[in-house]
Amino acid sequence: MKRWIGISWLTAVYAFLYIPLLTLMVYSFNQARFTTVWKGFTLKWYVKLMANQQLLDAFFNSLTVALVASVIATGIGTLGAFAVSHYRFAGRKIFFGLIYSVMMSPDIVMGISLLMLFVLLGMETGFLTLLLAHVTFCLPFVMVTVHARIRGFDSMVVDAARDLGAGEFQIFFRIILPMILPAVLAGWLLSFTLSLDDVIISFFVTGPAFEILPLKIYSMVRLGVKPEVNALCTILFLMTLAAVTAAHFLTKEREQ
Amino acid sequence: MPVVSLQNVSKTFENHVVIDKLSLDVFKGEFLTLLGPSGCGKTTVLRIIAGLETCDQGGIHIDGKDHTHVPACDRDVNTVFQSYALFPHMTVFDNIAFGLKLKKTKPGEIKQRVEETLALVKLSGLGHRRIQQLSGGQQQRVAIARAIVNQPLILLLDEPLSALDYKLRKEMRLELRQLHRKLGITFVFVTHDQEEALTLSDRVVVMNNGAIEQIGPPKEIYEEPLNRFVAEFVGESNLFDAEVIKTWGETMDIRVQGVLKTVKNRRGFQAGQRVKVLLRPEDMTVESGKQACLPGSFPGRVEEMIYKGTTVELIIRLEDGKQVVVLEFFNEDAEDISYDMGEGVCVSWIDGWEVVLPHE
Repeated sequence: MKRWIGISWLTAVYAFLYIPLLTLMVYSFNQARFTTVWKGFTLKWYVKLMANQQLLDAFFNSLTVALVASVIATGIGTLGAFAVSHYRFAGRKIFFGLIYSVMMSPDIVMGISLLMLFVLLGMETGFLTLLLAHVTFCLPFVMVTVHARIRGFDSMVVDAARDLGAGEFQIFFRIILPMILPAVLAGWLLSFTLSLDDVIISFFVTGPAFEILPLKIYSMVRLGVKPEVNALCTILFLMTLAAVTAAHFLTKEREQ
Repeated sequence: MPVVSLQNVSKTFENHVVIDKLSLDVFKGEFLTLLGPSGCGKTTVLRIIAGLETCDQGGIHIDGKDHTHVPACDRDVNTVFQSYALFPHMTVFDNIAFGLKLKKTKPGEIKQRVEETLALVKLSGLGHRRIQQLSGGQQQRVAIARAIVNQPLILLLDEPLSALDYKLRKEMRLELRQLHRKLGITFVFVTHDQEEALTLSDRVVVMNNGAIEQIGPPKEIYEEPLNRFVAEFVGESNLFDAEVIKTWGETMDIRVQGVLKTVKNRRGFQAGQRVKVLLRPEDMTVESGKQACLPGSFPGRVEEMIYKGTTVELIIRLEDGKQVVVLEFFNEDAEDISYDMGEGVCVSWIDGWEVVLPHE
């Protein structure tokens, strides 16, 4: 009896979580122009999507920003995590605490404050401002992921490397980096999906000249949800899912 | 000329003095052990020699050259860490070859030297294994191999046997001694285990609170401890309060437990001075107390008899309430040692085997 309550409760939770997504995915294969009635299977919305140059441009822009931002954030974040765990300096703990506060702060606050900063600096909103904003909000996630990994291994390993004749540079590239690589990749994938999905911050910091996919979709659905958008969202969802799953397995992986 | 020379080294961590003006010479080829309770600074001394820690004051010479500001990577010193600190992302071979690769040794020579070292630590054929596939004892051997393959001037060992079980630890002790003999490298070994220190070393350095209490060969440390700390830390001991009554030459009369005893006076004690008399359990004797005790022995009662295979440990309560531990050996004179609980006995010691320490 107890078991059945458990199972049905779990089913209800998962149904609540996944039915909307499944609906969207199913309707992306629907023949009907209007999304509420099932009129048979088709791939035409995916074909139509491929022909929509504006959407493809936005998609390409999004990919570019996500790729560049995640790579930059991963580079800086990894070095930051290394510094915080490896060196003793004044304000080390405060420094790391501040990273968390960036992670926690609401997107709307981040978006407005970044916009104010760019306006103040006289920067025109566009690719560069968008990129900087995305690097900013991705960075803490990389740092926290990598830091957890560094904390997880015996710090004596670094002493051992130094004892055997390794300089700082060799310690980082031959010992630390290979050991934290799974976490670095996970942080990178996480950044990539965060950047790809972001709407709120991007809304404030990008300009009309540089359109990205989430914002494009947002503007499209204001005029009603088209089946192409369903198809697009399905693709986007699957990409994110793949990246998050990969990140999960990379952080879970133990050295075996 | 010493191979390592520490001069007045001090080290403070967050207002806590870990090493206090410590000077120490290590001689070429010797097996030196730093022995002391945890927190006495012995590991810090080791890390200062390795260059993994800098000293706040004082200096360090290695092989006659000032090394005070030489970083760890440029010192001809290698360490075996307590946790082994092996590189988990490398194979056994790559772990051992790490130091040689950094020194840009030719691949052929690396292969040869790693294979030789693997044979030396009895791990031949395991070079391709991953670290996680090894047992604790094997990991220990890899850690040793990774250090000695570089043929350092000095090998530092930071409690390397503490993670092993008792039997393996005894085996590794023997192997370390053989390795030391074979390699001729200077070994500096850190431990809190007095048995390890006594069985392995040429010289033992007993440390306490960041300073050296005594340096000497194991026999001297055990038989002639300089003070109460060394006496109590190394081996079991019975300490009696005593007073010097009269001295002449190298001899003196003392009053201990109300009994007058004539003992050696090696440290120039004066009449009237308070002293401590140290006796190891095996240096004490027990006689049955059926008759009155002879002059010079203390009456007491057997409280506990602990059988230990080759010996019997007696815990005896003297008349004034003091507890004494006596170790009796089974031999042809005493094939059967047996006392009743509460049996009256007379406790004494073999003349001349006592150590008289200043009162602290």
